Amino acid sequence: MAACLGDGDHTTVTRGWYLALLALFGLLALVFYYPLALVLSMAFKGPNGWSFSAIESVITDPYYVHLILFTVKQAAYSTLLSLGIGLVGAYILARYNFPGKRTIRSLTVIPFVLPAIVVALGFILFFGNSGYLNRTLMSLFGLPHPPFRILYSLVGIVLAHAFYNAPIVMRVVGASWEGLDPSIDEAAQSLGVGRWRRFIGITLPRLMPAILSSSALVFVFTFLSFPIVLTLGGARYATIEVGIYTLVRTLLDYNHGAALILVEIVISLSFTYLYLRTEGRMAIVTQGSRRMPQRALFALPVDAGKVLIALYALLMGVFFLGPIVSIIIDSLHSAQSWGIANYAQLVSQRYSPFLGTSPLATVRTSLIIGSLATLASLLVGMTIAFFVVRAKIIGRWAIEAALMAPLAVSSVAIGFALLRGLSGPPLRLGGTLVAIIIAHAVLIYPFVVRVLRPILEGLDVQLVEAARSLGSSRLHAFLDIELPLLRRGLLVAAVFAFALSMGEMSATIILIRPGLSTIPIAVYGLLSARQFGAASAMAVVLIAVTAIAFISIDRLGGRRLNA
Amino acid sequence: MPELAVSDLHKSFGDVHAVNGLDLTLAEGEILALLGPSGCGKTTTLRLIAGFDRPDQGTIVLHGRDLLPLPPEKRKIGFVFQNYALFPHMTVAQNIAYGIRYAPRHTERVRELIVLVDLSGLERRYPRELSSGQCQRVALARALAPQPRLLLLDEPLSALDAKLRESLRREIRRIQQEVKLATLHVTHDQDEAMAISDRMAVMHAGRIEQIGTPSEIYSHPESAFVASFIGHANVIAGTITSVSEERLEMDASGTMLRAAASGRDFHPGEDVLLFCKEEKLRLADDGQKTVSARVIIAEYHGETVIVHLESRIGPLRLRMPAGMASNMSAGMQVSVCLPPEECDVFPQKTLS
Repeated sequence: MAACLGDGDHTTVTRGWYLALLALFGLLALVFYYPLALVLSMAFKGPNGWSFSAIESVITDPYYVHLILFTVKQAAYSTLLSLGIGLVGAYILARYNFPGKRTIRSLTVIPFVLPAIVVALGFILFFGNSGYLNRTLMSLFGLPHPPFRILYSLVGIVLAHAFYNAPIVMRVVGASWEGLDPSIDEAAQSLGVGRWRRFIGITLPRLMPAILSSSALVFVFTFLSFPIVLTLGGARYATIEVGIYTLVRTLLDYNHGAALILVEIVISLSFTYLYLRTEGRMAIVTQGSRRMPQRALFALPVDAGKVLIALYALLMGVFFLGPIVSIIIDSLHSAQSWGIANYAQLVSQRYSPFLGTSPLATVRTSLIIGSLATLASLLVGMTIAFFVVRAKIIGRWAIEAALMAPLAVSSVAIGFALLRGLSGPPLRLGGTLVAIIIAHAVLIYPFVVRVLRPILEGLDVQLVEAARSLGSSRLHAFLDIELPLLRRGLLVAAVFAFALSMGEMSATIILIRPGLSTIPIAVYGLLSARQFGAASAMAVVLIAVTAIAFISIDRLGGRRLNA
Repeated sequence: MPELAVSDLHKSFGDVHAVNGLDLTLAEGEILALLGPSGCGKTTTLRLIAGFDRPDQGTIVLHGRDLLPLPPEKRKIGFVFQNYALFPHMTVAQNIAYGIRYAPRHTERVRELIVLVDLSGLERRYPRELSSGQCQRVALARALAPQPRLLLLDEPLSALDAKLRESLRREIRRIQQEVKLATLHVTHDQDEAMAISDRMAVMHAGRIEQIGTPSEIYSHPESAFVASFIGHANVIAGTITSVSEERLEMDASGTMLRAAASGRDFHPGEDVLLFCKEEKLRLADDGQKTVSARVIIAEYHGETVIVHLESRIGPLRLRMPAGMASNMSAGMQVSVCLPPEECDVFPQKTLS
């Protein structure tokens, strides 16, 4: 397949790469390529054998066309709103200095790992017609009707997506903005160019790669978003993901489901490509020898800009904290009284009809899946990261693309693929916990690669050579040198992986069998049954587990290896 | 029997022949400097010997043992990297101990080495807490710890400032003499190569152009490349006019120049290059064969002055003791003599 370029030392490494690659591709063939191919082949089948009728109807039937167009529309609106909110935040992060800035910057990671079903629950509790926001405003101003009626509409979906994705824009663009070389702007200033013309003509073009890259990322995320649309879209609004779910889970119409997956992959792949292209260019633009000058936010004089910033901060505080605080308040509220009844029930209840099992068993199932999926995705992700960074093999680019392919396939599609691919031979894992663990690992390992890759790239390969010239085999060099130096990266990746697995609902809901439940599935089940108190208690458990995982990064690995 | 024997070594990366038929031997306890411009293949040669890369062709024998089938960890070769490659998560002592950590009495050996490289008191520091000179000493001690049969130094001093470079190269020489270790020292700095080595090999385009003691190479370059690379030579193009037993005569833009015959065959009409080191040029009395020249600028370098001249045979540089150059000023007319016995002549086409 690929020929060795000659590099890589002797005996072990080159042959080792081929063996590792072979094992990796064998594994992925079983749990990803074959199941996906099986499902995609169903798009080309009709009642009487091979046919294009499913694909044809998906791209011509008004129902499907509307579904596809709505998916694109909501993703576009969500991207625009996320950009609007995120760019203002990026500007503040880049140009102002204030206490708590680092905290805010690290908080921007949270939406990325906050399970979508939790966000959906928070939105219902906070923005719902009888949610905390409406109730507060009604009692404050004596209104007869709730002033905000935004749930179960396009607005609700777009707002929830912005909650999720604006912090991504803020993070990516903010970092790029702070890294800009200020002397270019100063040169323009010395030539007498005005403030707005400098921004449009000089700053904006240099931010463009970051803006484009984060927009493409947000577009793909919102295009493939499932739990938010499922819960906040109501009966009228559905996206491709929801459409696939309905076809596969409710109507058992696999052929049209598969055809929709095909369309979805084509659209999301083109945006993923755009993202990867622009991300690659970013490294070149953001190189400044000096830091951007920053102003203190909490210092005199107070100008119009600072007043606007305060207003923005207030709105964002309500927007981001409102839903999360609502969940916590609601979890302490049941049957018209305050207290820990919801949590007590969570611990004591032997069987919940909404879960099909006990709440504790649900938590246990999630922890088991989370730990094993983390382990599996770390192993696969680390192997791939090593391959991508260390191996010098012709055709590496193509191999890398094939290895990272799950990034381009939606969670629901992967769930569907594994539902079909794992039920039959060779693995026969239909309905088992293992199938769910596999789905999570396949979904998560590309993120592990993305965390580990830059760290590994910064790790000088001469350290390995030094260890080997001192008598260590390649394996020992890995264990003695690379592994300890990767420790922090591995911890970060592990916590990310665990958080993502704990919150995963899209693939799980397709694969799970009755009598088995995970925390997000339970939240969704309780939410659908309008058991908000119990749903909130479950969601708080999920948030707590994720938060503990994140705090433990600092405790375990944050200290020593900062060099 | 030589300690290290490398013969007919070849290595290409794609279309680039990094090492192209290299032969080299190293005696026991000898330090050989591998000198050449960047990209001449000297680092690749070291990496091939260490086993980090695999040669396309050739043999490498160390102490009678064929190295090629062996992975780097089995070769008993110490390697010191240009950027030190110290393990950042280990202390000085742990770095030095890494290659011998399973050996009995390794703590004593580490203590010995720390004294040898003069790092006492820094055992528990991490590499990020050391200066670059100290890092290089750790790297050296670490490479010496397992008592290798051969030490490879890959531009070990190039990241240091000039003063430190000089003191550390004396140190490397001292340590190498103390442990009597065959050493191959790659550098692009000829001062360093001459100061540190028993013999030096000048590399060019993937092979060795000349190998010999520093003074042999300095005074008797055997190729146009070595003549131009070592020292600072004036290069004058011309055509051979006559060849005799003991001298060559050539015509350079109408001026007749002489050089001592070097045993190389030339024929009249052949295009050649004449090399004459700038400190060998002399200001002449009228009686001798001279070239008249005009002073452009006299550059002050402390001990010496380099006088830049313009002449019929092209620009010339002449280095003289500072005390004798006090009257040199721009525009002054002088006569310059190129002593035939100090001039080397090579065919023009050999310098590519």
